[in-house]
Amino acid sequence: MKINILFLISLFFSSNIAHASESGQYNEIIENLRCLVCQNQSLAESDSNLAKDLRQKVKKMLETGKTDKEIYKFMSDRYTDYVLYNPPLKKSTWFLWYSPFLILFFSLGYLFWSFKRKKELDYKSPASIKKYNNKSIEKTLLENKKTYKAYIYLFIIIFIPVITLSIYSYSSELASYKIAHYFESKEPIIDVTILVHDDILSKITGNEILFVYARRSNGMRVPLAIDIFDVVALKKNYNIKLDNTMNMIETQTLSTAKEIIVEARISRHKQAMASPGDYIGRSKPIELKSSNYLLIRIDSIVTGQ
Amino acid sequence: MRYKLSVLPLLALITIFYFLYSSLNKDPTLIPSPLIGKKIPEFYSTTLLKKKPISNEDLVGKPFVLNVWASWCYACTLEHNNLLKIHKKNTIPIYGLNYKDDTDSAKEWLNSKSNPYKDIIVDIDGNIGIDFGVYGAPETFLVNKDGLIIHKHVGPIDESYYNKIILPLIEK
Repeated sequence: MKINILFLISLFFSSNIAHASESGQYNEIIENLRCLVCQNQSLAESDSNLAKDLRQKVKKMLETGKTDKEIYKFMSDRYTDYVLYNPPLKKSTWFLWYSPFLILFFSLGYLFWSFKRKKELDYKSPASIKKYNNKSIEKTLLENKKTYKAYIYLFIIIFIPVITLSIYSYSSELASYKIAHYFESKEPIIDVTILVHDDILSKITGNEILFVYARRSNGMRVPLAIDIFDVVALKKNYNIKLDNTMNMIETQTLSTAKEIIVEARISRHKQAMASPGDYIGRSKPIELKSSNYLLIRIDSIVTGQ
Repeated sequence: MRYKLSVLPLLALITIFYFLYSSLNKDPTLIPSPLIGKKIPEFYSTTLLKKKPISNEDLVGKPFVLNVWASWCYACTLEHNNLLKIHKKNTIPIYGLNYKDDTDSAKEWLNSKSNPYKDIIVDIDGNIGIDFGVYGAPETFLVNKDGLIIHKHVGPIDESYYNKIILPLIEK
């Protein structure tokens, strides 16, 4: 039943279901396997190379007469249960499966208990009246209500931002990245103005990508800060910022370097590695202060390796 | 009793806060390997340079590093220097798994840099990669003398990889 519901849901939300095979079994299996490199897509939906390979693998295994179970096991043996959209009930996951029912059970119990108490206080025992002999019952009830209200307001005031923030952070990778790095120090910051030479500008079609990165002037060539932009045809200058949070490798940030060079490269093949025919410009080596300004002219062409 | 109970939402809130906060710094793309503690999968292939046959049994016997790379992979160029450094220490062999690569460009890539690998296993269609649970190059496996995978690293390895991960195994 669970599989059916999941299957229906994924049918509703996936616009481009692969129809590589006529077999319904094949389609069902790849719908139920997660693409490993794209997170919220199934193998059926994804266009990534790994997904293509794994689809091929599923097809081959079906052709050799493997059952669904064997295929799911093959995948989870290599990529953990993460790859399964319908993970099995295990000791480590039973809390995940049953905690909603547990919470429901306890809150119903609490609700029942508090109703019962209120009833007692309202009608039944004179003992409860005695207990509050200095105040009237109504006053006590009112006060209780007030404190409850205060708690509810407090809860809402804290809860709503948290929920919004969490939904926002899960909505996109960029958002969660931004939140995670919000409190990090961004300095040193490099303001870069990039000018594209007129001869090069005339050759640009708008299909290129602009890589801007800072690296050490000597030693390791790892980019310490990198950003990527779409190139717009006829656009002559770009103003961009590189800062301490734009590192590729955790330990290699701008603040770890003494002297850096900033390079701007327009890649026609949209590749991170320089290839012949790319347009490039680089700055002189500079020593970093907390904020820096640089002008780079893209005026040469990458030749050879 | 009522006042005591009203602490509950606060506790719940703190728990939610904790989980939200801890998930901020997690890398959602990281998948733990189920292969840790298991034998390296079986494979039969050839080596890239000498074109001699190679299988999983040829590797087992001494601890080794298996590095999944390809010439199309930018991050692989970033870790290359660190691999060379490990290679120069001459304490542990590094095998390469050339993952879904064009053989000629792989050779060219190696020629333009120096070669840290003892042998390179060719995996043109990525099937060996699937058996190793590879989902993106570079990935680095550390295997002990019994052929059990004891560590897997996704992404380029950095300078601390040797001291933190490899040394404890060698010194054992």
